Amino acid sequence: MVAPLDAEVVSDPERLAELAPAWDALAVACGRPLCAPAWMLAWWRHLPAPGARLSVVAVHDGEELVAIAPFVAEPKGAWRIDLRMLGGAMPRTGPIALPGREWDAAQAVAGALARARPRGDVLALESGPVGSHWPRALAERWPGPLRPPLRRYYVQDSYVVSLAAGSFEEWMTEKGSHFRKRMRKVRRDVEALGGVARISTAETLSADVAAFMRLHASRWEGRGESAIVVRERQLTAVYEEVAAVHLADGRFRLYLLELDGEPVAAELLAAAGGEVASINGGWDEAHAKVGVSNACMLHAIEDAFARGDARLDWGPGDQLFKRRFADGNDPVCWTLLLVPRPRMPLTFARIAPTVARVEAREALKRALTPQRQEQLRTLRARVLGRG
Amino acid sequence: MLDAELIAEVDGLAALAPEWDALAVADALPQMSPAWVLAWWRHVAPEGALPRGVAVRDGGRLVGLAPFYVAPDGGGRLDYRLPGIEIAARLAPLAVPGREWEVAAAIDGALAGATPRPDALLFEGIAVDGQWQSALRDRWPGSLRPPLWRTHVDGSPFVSLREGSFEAWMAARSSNFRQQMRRMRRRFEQAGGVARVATRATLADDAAAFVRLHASRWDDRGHSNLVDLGERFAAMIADAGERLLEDGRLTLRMLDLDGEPICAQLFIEAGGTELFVNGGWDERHAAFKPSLLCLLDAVEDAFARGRGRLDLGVGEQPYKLRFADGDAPLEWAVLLTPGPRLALSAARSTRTLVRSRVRAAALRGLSEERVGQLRGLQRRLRGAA
Repeated sequence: MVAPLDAEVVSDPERLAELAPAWDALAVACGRPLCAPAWMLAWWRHLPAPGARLSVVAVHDGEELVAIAPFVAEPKGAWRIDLRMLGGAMPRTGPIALPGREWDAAQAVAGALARARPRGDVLALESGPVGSHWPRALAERWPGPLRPPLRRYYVQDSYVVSLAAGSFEEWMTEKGSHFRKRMRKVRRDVEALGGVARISTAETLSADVAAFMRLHASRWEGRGESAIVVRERQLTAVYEEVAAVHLADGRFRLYLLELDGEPVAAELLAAAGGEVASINGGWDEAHAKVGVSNACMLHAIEDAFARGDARLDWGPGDQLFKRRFADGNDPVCWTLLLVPRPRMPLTFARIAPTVARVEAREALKRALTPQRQEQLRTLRARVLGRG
Repeated sequence: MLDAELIAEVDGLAALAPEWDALAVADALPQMSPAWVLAWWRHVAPEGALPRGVAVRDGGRLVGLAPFYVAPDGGGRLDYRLPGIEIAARLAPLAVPGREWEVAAAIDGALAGATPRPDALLFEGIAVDGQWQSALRDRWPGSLRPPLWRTHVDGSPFVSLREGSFEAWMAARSSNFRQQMRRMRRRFEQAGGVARVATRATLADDAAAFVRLHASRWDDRGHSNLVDLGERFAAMIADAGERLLEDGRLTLRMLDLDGEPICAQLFIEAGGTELFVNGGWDERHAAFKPSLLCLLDAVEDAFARGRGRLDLGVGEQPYKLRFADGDAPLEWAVLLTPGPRLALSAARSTRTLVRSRVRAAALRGLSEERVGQLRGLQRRLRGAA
């Protein structure tokens, strides 16, 4: 356990492709679907930030890959380089290691990043699990006399469904009678309209991804900006590439609910090691009253039970439709680690406004009643012309 | 919506024992089980300590429990602490897995209205990757989010037991490790040594032997909380053993030579996690390497009992690292609750924080050799004092 580990900084995509099988095994061991190389490398191929460069740290113990920290170096103007996770802020991403090896791996990762050129100024661990060793481990194990300052500036709820009940029927029994009645009615209503739930196959994939995009976009019409909508073309390519790898093994799951052969709701999920992560969904507002979205989510849960998964994570956000199905909360958080180097004060000054803005917003949320918060949101939407 | 009830009597806590134990099992935290914590209250709790537990229910079901107590002297700051850090770490409130954040909101609400009002919640030896520090901070009621000051981190190695069997685990160690362990066992057996676990009949005597052996290890070697507790800890072991021994959830391992105990190690278990609490051995028999022998037995037994993890406890001593294949560090932190005394509490906490930061900076900046020299000097100064 105390033998030193080898850390290699990889910036060559071909080398990453070589590491992909072992990397994927780590994502499975950690139950982190969106940390799998299929997702992260597809993201890199289609959505790299301008000027970004791969800075992935692979940590080996002998021949065995024990950890991977898939960073990408993004220049943020002059004199600042952010090391962010591959995959942008896809939920529950971050470095991964064999369970129990996080701290010795963090020492190897920190050492490699401190030596790497160009050197990062900020390590941005965005949308990572609150219960993660990594931010603290990287700070504690960073080489040199100064411990990097660490700032966790935002925490967001992420509702989860425990699949420990063993079967879908038992899970339904454990939910309250109100929930059961409501969901049974939803299913009856959908069936009465000839509704059919299905999962995407290789034959239907392209059309299904297009339907997912359309349904998601329709949900956002007049409601602001969706990160998926603004990157539709690139994300379509990402989804199709991931599906090419993981559709067959059930780790890319796109559920659709159809009425008269027309998709009216869609839910996209990724899976690894018993963990199922919802990426997003959409539905046709015209059929919202029937509960087509609920029916689609229910189908995803039932299928997860059938496949023997352990947990389904609805992803960040405390929307009512997520809470309705959840029986737990496992939040994600945004953390910054400032790398000690001569220009650290400058970096600190540059990130301070972002952190202050988020923290002020959170403080306001604490101070205001939900009613007042809603009024402010409405006002903001009007001012921005979205109302 | 959850209901939170503040419990200010030890009897009130004891009344929750069956449901409480189910939570300790679900969270795999043997050090937070009622048998252990209530034995702590009966034998080890500091004089004047006041229970301030919070029980959280969803309908009739207990979904969370934070068995805090008020420390009689927090240096002018009123601290709410979790019981037992003198003995074992990885202390935490309990909750049904996945419900920590809503339980934290209910606990916070109850604590904010508790009397006496806490100035600080202390997290002593809490898991770095746990939810509670963040959750109790984030869900504290009111417009101000309480400051959370993290002081230091300590390693806590464990044996993952992922190999499935003792034989497979041994096969995965180095050949040097295997040879040494087998040789040690042979030598001990050839010398007439006997390895055994305490039974109901021997528990009181074995607990006394544990305390004696532990104290002898610490002669002239610094400070041990368990040495300070002395016979009170022996009584606590015997008390907890009354409830945990039969189920195999408390194991006191003994090595005897010529009928005399030369090594004792204490383990408690919940939810598949076996926790090594502490141990002691007779220096005169160091050649048998009794602590390694005893730990090897514990690993073998953990596999036999189908445990999920053997937690070797706080501290990265070399003998633990020989067995460990993972580390799950613990941290010490203080959550300062917002209120009229916040500034005063912060001022009172600053000294501890500064001291720990200086210590951490020194550890980062100095070579291991220099750190060793400084530790030696510190021991000598303490000895002289």
